[in-house]
Amino acid sequence: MKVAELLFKNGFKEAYAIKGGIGGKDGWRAIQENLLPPSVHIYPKKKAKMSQQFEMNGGVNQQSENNYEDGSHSMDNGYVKSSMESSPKKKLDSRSSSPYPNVVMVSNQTPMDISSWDGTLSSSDFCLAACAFVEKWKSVNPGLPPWSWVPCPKSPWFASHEEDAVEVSHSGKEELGCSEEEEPIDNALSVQSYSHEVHCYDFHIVYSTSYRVPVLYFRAYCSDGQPLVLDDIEKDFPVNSAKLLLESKWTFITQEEHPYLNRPWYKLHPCGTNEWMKLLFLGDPSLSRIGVAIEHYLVSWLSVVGQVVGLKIPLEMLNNSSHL
Amino acid sequence: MMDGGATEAQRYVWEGAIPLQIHLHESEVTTLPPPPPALILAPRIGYLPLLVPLIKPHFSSALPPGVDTIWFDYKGLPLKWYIPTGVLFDLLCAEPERPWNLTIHFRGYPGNILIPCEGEDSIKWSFINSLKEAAYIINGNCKNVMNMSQPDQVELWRSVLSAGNMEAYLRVSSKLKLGTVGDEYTVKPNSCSLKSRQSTGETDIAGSVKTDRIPVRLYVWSVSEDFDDFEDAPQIDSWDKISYINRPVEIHREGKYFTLRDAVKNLLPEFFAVKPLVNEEISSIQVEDVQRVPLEDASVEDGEEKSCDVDSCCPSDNAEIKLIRIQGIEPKLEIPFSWVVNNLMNPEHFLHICVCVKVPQENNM
Repeated sequence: MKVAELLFKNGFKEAYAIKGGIGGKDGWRAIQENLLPPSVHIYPKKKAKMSQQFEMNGGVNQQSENNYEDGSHSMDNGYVKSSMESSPKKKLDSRSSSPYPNVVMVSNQTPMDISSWDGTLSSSDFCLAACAFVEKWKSVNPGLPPWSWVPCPKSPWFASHEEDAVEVSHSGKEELGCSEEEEPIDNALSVQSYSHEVHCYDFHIVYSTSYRVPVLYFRAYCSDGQPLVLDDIEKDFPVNSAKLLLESKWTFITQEEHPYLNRPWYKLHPCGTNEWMKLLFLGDPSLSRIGVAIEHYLVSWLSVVGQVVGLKIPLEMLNNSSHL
Repeated sequence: MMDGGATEAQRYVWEGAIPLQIHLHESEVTTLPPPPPALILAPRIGYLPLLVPLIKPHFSSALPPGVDTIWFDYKGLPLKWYIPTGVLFDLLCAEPERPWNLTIHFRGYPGNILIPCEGEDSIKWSFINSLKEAAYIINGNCKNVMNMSQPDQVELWRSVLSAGNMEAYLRVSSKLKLGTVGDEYTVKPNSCSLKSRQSTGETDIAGSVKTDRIPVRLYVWSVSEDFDDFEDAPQIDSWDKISYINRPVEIHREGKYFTLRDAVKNLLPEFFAVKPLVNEEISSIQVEDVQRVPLEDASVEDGEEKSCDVDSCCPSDNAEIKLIRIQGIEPKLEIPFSWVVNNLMNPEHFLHICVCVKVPQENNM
């Protein structure tokens, strides 16, 4: 696989160390095939609330579980957020997905010369990419917890700053022990925690004005609200990430202040992102043919970054040609 | 400037220190009488937990048994250890208090507010990660920081840790090629081409056009009531009252030098808006003007200041900037931003700016 080779040659492994690369044995494509085993069916926890948030496009006052509350919003300063919870017994709700292709996405498609592109994007492009991503996710995965845009102005007087950063968020619960990377746990030893303990993960995608790329922030907690420490989180992660976490304690995932919520969250360090994003686009003929389509940015990005934390992207999300 | 030895201002910053009077929190006092407060001089460019080896012996006999999770508070506000001590002081003590009375806690870490601190390693890596971020902002990559040799890394950190050997710091840091902001008095020939990049929201092609990007961390403290004297200023009792803005300032040269005012205007355009006029069309043009920062420079330099002074500036909704403080000083807004950056930045190459703004209550939502 061309992409995988490119990534390997150019030090992708150092950036995020998905051992199998894109096409390798434990790589992205391979994992895609095994996507969503029956035990990880997911349904939206606060679906009504969340989808409402998105439809209003960040233009309303809303209160998230993070006590984030604010008034006047514009599209450019917010984040998208959703919530999910896994449970094998729940049936997937069917919900109407939005008509596709979305008008906003198409009209804002900004192909550009890929050879001069450095893999970064501007905050307004991030906003476009985020909206495209949210829409696509909704239409491709109507049963999965949606991502939604959550506006977050810095302050009342910051309501409409053009360059204010934006954020996409997503939260979910993982049934402990159901991720396929994990070895079966000795039932005799830990039968209770194995079958009952649910870990919740909140994922936020925040634009970094320093690195000019999206950054993944997340936090994890037990169903009783008790936050998980990194040692516990590590056990939910794919094996490769856990290993890397051990090797690069301070430069891979660290706890940092969430830029909007001012609380400690975990952050995936973004300093190699633009490099591998560029490689990703260069290496994919269908992407480079149409130039750098901003709409695909977040899907491609999350397909790599998501793997680090065991967040999987349905294969259909990567299918560029079908919709655009 | 950095290459040719330190400037006088840099030396002041490097040697700047704040006298601290540190009290043990009463809940942790196990002796009678309670231990007297510890007096210590804290380097401005340092971080509070780095002082622990000096402070702890002072209190160790009074501590209850158990594992230490050390943190500090100022009048009940837990202090974020990853903000340099000088910045905390500038931000939280609008009216400087000397000595600065802080409380130390060895137990009960407020993990919901503060990032856990695992001692010196946490601080060192927070510093290095900031340095990497700054390098990325300046050069578009962090290779020089990533490729720093182990001895250089050790030396760099040691010089910051002790706020001691400034020459050693300059020697290592010059290898990172983070340079200094160019001399703003001269006009770069290609400066005109920069205009389009700023104003459009289109995809940037970073690298093809070089814009100076300056790593800035801005802390905005908004107050709702007015006061004449900072002694009467309300206490900051929650971090929610501080907006933290981590956004690079892009320097655009259009024939004029770029001042500190331009930089702050760039970060907080709302506070530099000209009073709205009745005519809607005119005011919309003015709003545009504000965003295209350099356009207004012309009038500033000619001395006929169209935009107002920091104290009298009247942005929308009667909000106003009451104070801008960097490294303990309140620089004039006419100072070239390049001077401010080159002389007042912290060793991780970020310029930390503390701003106090007054936002009338009715606009506070």
